[in-house]
Amino acid sequence: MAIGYYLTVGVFMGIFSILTISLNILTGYAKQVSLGHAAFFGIGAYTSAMLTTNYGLTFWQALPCVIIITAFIGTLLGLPSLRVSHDFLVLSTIGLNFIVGGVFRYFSFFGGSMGIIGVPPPRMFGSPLGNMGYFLLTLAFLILTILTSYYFSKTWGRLAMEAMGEDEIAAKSMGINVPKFKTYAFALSSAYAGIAGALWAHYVGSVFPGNFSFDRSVAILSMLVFGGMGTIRGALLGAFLLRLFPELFRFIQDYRMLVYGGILVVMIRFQPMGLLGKGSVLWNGLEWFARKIRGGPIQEGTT
Amino acid sequence: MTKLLETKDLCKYFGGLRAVDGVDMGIDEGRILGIIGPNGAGKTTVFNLIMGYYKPTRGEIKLNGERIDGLEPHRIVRKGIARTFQIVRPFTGLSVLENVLVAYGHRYYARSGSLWGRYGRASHEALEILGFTGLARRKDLPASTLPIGFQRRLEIARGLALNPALLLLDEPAAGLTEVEIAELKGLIRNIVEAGITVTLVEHRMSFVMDICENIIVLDQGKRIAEGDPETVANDPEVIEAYLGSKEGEDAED
Repeated sequence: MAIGYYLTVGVFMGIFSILTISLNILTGYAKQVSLGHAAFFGIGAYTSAMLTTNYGLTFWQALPCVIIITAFIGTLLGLPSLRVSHDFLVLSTIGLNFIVGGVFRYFSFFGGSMGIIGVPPPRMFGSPLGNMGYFLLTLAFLILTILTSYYFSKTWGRLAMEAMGEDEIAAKSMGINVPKFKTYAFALSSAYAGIAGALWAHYVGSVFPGNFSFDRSVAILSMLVFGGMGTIRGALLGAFLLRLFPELFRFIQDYRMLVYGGILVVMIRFQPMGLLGKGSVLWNGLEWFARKIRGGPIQEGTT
Repeated sequence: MTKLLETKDLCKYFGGLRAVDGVDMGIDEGRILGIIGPNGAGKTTVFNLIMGYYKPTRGEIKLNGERIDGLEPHRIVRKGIARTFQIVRPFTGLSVLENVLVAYGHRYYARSGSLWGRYGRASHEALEILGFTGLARRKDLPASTLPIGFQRRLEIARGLALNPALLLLDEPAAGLTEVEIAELKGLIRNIVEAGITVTLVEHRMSFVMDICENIIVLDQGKRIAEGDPETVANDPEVIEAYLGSKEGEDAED
């Protein structure tokens, strides 16, 4: 197969890795389970597509606007989380996904069901990016995403989100302003998702309401749960493997949703921390192995 | 003696239930105050009112002369009051050290800019608090794996990391063995020595009588007695509230 195929697979893996890392902030750190993440992805894609096709901005000029607009809309869509939590929040994120999809479909401002076509590829050094160029661009954004979210994972902001996600009442008594941190989690998470959306729109060249439907949200959550909630390594592995499987085994393609659904159920039942999450069997094994190689003392019971 | 915290005519009604009904009390700086009373007397409700989890139906709460009633819990924490929970609430997914760091971070949560600082830099301070509460050796364990005695210490460690002027302990001795209770007494005395005022709600009379310098007795939301342990123990109204005169209710402990 031509190199172009591998580059395409690579670009989509990169985009979904960014998406899964973005969901990790909201669902992994702040424990706000979202089954509507495709909405944020779509808002980023539509914003960038419309700014570049209707308003004549370049990809690079549109990008800061995309980040600001998705963060802002993410904050608005996160407002229900201040009132509802747990299962009810999950339900309302599903509802939000359908609302956002519906707005794209039924308002002619957004192109209706015809979507937006002719989204130009980004230009660098005076010429439009080819397949290889786009792959490198995606890779660069993925690396930036990993680095910034890794830095974030070491900050007070993440610690407060994690505490809030675990126990809101205790978090309040630690001086944590719960509504503020929920809002931050939604804003930050959707800003990253917006970048992924812009990358998608300019690679595919068109956006349609169906690209950002509920099944896509399920897919993103499956990737995070499969790889390991709450960790960047898990988000990366989940996105990588769940994009890879359908490519390796073509027959899975048509049953993709079945596979994603099945993975969600099996993982939640047997390995809720995912493959590489904190405390998962595989990760504990790797840590044990690493200690053994380094020759350090093997501590029992520090699971 | 200066009053660190004062309540005036503090009331909290839940529908027809008068959980706290016109309580006037003062917490002396630098001393250990015990709030006791039978089940349902309103002890924990008083804590929840002070911490801002409930808004008072009526009355006021002043910290150093400044009204704090009606403020959100996270703001009251920043004013210098910390609490522990009767049923421990550790952040189970975090390590012992991280639990204390969450509390230590209260000074950074208010301003958005300082949220982007790395929390690892405060590990040294958090470790000191863990040392003070006897948890240093367990710093890397997930909080959920600690036995109950150490989970209570962790509650107190988190409270101390909030750098409070006033520390409220909600039944700190519940579920502890005699040995653990003896250690807890020592820890509480050390905390007071470090300049933090302690107020505790407790069921175990022996514990309260031993450690508190001043005791307030609540019954059915009302303050029925106040004074040093001996005065309170001999107060006929207190004895009646605990032993029950008519209904013959069980005494607690």
